[in-house]
Amino acid sequence: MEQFKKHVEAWKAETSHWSNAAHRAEHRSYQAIIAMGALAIPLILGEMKDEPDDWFWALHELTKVNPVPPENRGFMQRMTKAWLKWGRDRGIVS
Amino acid sequence: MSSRAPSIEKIFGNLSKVGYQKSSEATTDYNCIAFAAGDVKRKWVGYRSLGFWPPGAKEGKHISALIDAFAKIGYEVCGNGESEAGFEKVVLYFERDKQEWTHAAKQLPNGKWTSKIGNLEDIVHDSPNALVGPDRDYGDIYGFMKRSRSAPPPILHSIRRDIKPHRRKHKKQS
Repeated sequence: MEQFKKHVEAWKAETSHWSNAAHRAEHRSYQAIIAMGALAIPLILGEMKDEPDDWFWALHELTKVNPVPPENRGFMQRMTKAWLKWGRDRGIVS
Repeated sequence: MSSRAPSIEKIFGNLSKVGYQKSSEATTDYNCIAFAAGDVKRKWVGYRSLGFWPPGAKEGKHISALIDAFAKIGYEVCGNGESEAGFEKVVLYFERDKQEWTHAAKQLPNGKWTSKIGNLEDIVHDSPNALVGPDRDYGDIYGFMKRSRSAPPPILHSIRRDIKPHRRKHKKQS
């Protein structure tokens, strides 16, 4: 958990001004979170509840699913909501 | 609202020299590409599976994907960023080595430029060069595109039909 928080802080501090989300996903801290594997999924979902951000790349990479309907793609709040529902339905996040 | 954004100034050293003003509070609701395209409700991310990207536009990080995205909403490549009556212009930034897009800004009717800086604030800057600086986070200017102000193409209407009037949100700062 502590390691995750550290990576999140570094990622946000170093990439919040980056415009290309694909580049943000390539950042070493973001990649370190993905490397945590399934352990990272509940942590990412918990983080998203507090502050929506570009977590969709990591979630897609880790779960290989995409619960966001095409018409909602791009809308941060709707995408976040869809992922949180996906997590709740599976008991991963409260 | 203060007209300065110290966090952005720290990143882009040229900004305070060239001149800029903060024009919104920070939000994660949209990104620079969406903002330059006139959509302040979505993130345009280069991939349709992970966010919004104009239907039919080439996907990806390559600068050609960004050019295609703007072409799909009526822009065509033009030679410079000089203000032209009847036209709106965008400037595209890229990482030269990888040929990957990094940012876009749009020209205002008064000839100044406006940008959404990642998840941070929107700013108005006097020149596209304001975001090309020592740290080079946005790399270099690739070029400019323009479209007529009077005749937005049909695809823009379809993009905007489902978005409500913009209300800027205050983002909780971490």
